[in-house]
Amino acid sequence: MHDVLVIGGGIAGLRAAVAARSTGAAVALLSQSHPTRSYSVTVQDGINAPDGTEGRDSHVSDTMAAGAGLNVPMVVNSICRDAPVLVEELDRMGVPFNRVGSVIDRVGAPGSSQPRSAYVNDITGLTVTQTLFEQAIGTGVQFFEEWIALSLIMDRDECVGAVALQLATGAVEAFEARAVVLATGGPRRAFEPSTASLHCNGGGLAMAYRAGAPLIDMEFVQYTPMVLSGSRLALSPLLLGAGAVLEDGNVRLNGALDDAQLESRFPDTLLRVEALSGVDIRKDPAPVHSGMARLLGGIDVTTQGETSVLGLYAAGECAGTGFHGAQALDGNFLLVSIASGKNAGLTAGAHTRRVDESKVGEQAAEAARTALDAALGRPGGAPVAALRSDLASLMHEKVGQSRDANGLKEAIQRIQAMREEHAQLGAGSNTRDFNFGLVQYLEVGSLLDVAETIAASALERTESRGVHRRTDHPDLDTSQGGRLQVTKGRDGPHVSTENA
Amino acid sequence: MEITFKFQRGGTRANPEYVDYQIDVPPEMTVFDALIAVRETQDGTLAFRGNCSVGFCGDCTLSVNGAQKVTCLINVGKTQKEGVITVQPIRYAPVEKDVMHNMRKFLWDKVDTFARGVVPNGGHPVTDEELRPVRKAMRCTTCGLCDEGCTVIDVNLDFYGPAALTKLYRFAFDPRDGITAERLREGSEIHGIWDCVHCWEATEHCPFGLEPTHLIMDTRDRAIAHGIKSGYGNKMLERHYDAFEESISRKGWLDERSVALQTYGGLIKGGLHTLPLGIRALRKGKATLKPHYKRPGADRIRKIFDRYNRANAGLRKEKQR
Amino acid sequence: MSHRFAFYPGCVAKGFCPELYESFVRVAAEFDIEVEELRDVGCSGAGLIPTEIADPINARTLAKAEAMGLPLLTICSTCQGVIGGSALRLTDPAYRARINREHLAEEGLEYQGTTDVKHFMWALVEDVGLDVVRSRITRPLDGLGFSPFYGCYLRRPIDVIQRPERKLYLEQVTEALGGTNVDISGKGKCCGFPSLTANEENAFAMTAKHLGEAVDKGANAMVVPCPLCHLEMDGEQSAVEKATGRRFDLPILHLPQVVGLAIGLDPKELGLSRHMVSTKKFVAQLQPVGALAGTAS
Repeated sequence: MHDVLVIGGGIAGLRAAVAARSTGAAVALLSQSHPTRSYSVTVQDGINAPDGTEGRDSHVSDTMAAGAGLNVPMVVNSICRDAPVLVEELDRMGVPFNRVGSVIDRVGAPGSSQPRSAYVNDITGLTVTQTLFEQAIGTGVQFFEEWIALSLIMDRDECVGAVALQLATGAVEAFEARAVVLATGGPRRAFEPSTASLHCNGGGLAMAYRAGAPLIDMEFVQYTPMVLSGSRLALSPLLLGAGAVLEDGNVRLNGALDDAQLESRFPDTLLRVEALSGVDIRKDPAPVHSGMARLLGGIDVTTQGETSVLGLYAAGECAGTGFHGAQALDGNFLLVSIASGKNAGLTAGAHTRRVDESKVGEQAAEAARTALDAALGRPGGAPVAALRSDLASLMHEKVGQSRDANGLKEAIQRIQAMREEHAQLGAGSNTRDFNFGLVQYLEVGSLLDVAETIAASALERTESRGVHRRTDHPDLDTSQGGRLQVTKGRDGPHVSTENA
Repeated sequence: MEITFKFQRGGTRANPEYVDYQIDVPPEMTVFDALIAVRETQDGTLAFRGNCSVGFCGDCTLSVNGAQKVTCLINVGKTQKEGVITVQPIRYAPVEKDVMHNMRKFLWDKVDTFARGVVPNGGHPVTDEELRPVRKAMRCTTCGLCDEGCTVIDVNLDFYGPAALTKLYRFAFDPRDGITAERLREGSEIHGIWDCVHCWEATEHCPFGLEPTHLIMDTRDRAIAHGIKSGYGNKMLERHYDAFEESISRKGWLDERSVALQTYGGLIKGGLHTLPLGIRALRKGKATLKPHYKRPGADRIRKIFDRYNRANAGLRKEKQR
Repeated sequence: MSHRFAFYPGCVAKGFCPELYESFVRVAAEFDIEVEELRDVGCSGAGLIPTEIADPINARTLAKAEAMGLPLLTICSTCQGVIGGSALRLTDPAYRARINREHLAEEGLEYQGTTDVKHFMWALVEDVGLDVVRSRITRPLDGLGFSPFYGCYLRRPIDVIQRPERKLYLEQVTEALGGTNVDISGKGKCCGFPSLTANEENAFAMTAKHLGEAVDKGANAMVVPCPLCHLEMDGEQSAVEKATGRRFDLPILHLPQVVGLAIGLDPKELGLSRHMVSTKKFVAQLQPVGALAGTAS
């Protein structure tokens, strides 16, 4: 029995683990890969954290302006207030933030009225992940690497752990816990093009949804215009902050940075653009296109990271904090992962309930074993991969940057049909160790569930707001200022307006 | 383009058993993406790692056509030879299945040894200049290619290796950390920094230009500045350094005879250890009896040492505390 | 045409490997390499002494060569690599200025950053030229297999060795002399010497690997451009044999010795009898002076 079980080893999960550990709780962290292999390491944004009160006010107002009326003001105020402290904490933990003299530097990002992004060259995500991992190692967090969470263990309406599959052996075990923090990231793989890592399958969203926790703001899917052509690498928005321009599908430096500056500030961009597209950005523009970058909604949580299910917490991209509203500012993504991770970890650590020993964990594990055994015997592989690739195209075309009622309805119908097809498929092989066919089958199941909630929410919001653009409802409708919640109904997602 | 992946599924590196997979992919596609396509559509039991696909997570390191690579940073067109890409595990890493390396044994247990987070020293405000070494070391994606190229790991898998020692460097050069000397002592234990033979292979092998060999050498310099010249258990190494330093700073030049004698523990013990080789060497005329004369500019060299020792006196005192 | 250098022999060539110094001096004269030996200079630091100390010492050496208007010549890979590394760092004007100010100014020296540091092997290929070397052969080494062993510092780091083609000079020289190249996988790896005090087990394992591979592939001798590699491969060979239980009996030759043999110099004059591993069998395989090259190579 763990005090706190964190699922997900990216920035939010690690920050939650470190915070929970600081309360004295025994913390286990379960992740699909080694934590420093998480998607988080690819993130090259800065962290918005202005210094001084004046800066905070404009941070709040810029965030609210982008969010187009759907931000939760209390959440925005609270996180913007904490931001400088969160960055100082990371600095003390060991993140080597760029400085001017001995003061942490702040640079501008698109959409920000002031320079407020703290950063580490073009490796903010990599260094924050590493630092938090180091702190977790140093404080004695217990790691379970290459385990894939399958479902939450529910005791009546309360969450008391999770069932997970070990990649190396195929073993399915119950991880019982007094509190569970989901930090499994977003469902990028449901869209193509996107910035997805292989593990961005929205597993936590699907698990929470299936367990009855409401999701929120699921219609807001943000694209970035800066995906390097032929790759899934989002170029750093800090390039634009440093004077580069984005025009005609190209990022041009326009002489804003000389070679020496580029080599010292953006060494990893230089290297990867060259490797992935063959372009030397010192000489030539980097061709880019838009791609799905982030889901703004997620599991409905309070400022403290509590979901509607007792014992279950969520943080990072899988959490719907209400901070971003209908559109997010560059530089706010990492901030929210860090803030929500810390908050959820502290709350989970401080409120570990007494959970009695029971058989529900083993029962849940047994049920999962039975289901997986069945899946092992069914055909899979290519048809499952085809489902994923069809889903990703469908979502991009009908549920991407431009939407309408017909397209959304079609998308929902097709997703439902795909789910029926998925139910007939499986792992494609009954191998137990390292069965990636089985993993793919499970991941596509998660993506289908999450995709459906996105499409259903997008259909429900009959207006255009933030990143949600409806061609059949091009204008903002002030009467639709409520947030949309999705719960799992008997025949599919049930969408309703929060507090309606 | 039509590609045949010859994928090692069993056997040994020297005598591999391959299974062939054909796939039609654009030449610009990365080798990693092409392998994922094979696994997703042809054989879900193919065991290899990888996640981010953009060169940051360091998980997809493999041997392709005999060269060790981060496979998401190379493309199919340039990698294939006559339409074939042979996939094998990297050298030295134990294998769990197919080309799935036992990274815990090969890498993570070692890296984790030196990964314990910063213990704040509550010190002075830190400048950007001071943090540059830390930022450089943290560009490391732990792809493992430095360890894969390591001369010492080639003969002894227990050597911590450049990846883990890069992590040590990251802390040894972090001005915010309060336990530098302790970390350097841990890194000086057997299989640590003093077992590196500075062959520069790691520097050559790092695909990100981090120059891990340089980082290890800098860490050794740091340890010496702290008065740490060996692990706890190896007094010989400490004597070796002291003798080396003494010879150069006294004569300006290295006198191998006195260094060898002092290294092996003073005249009597040292004489015994080096005697057989020494006598044979003298008899054959390989070594000469004539000791190195004191160089004319030896006092100049002495001054360089004195200046260094004065500058680091504070750090050495700290060690004794 | 003569080639003039300021000569930095290094410690070992004047101590435990005197035959290197002597064979070099003998061979250099044959190829019009004129050297002026630097006496008032310090040990390079050999990769053990911290950079903070080694760089000023080496800046002093470089400044003295510069004052003579000559490039610096080494006959030791380690000296070459360490001084070359210092020279590379000292191309940074601000760093050079600090070293000059703090360490060199007092004795009226100033290093301007212009000294080229060259190993004898590079000078032989680049300044003398392999054609000239070939033209002087009187005792071709036909039929003999040589495993090249560079050690670490003549192959890496690339910014210190400057030209990638230098990674192949050793076998180019032995092949030019008529020898057969017996390539081994570890030719650019560590011989083991730097690990002798820290971890003897590792050192011996490396040495055994290189020697074993060379013997297995049929080498008659190994050629080294570094006296430290020689100390390890030749001096420690019997200890390695004892530790691993395998007999190698592989003669280890310094590069100048191999060149000297091919141009007809006396093996004894080149110091071949002063090795720890007997070279008798090898010497007996040599052709008489004046033999013609078997095939034009």
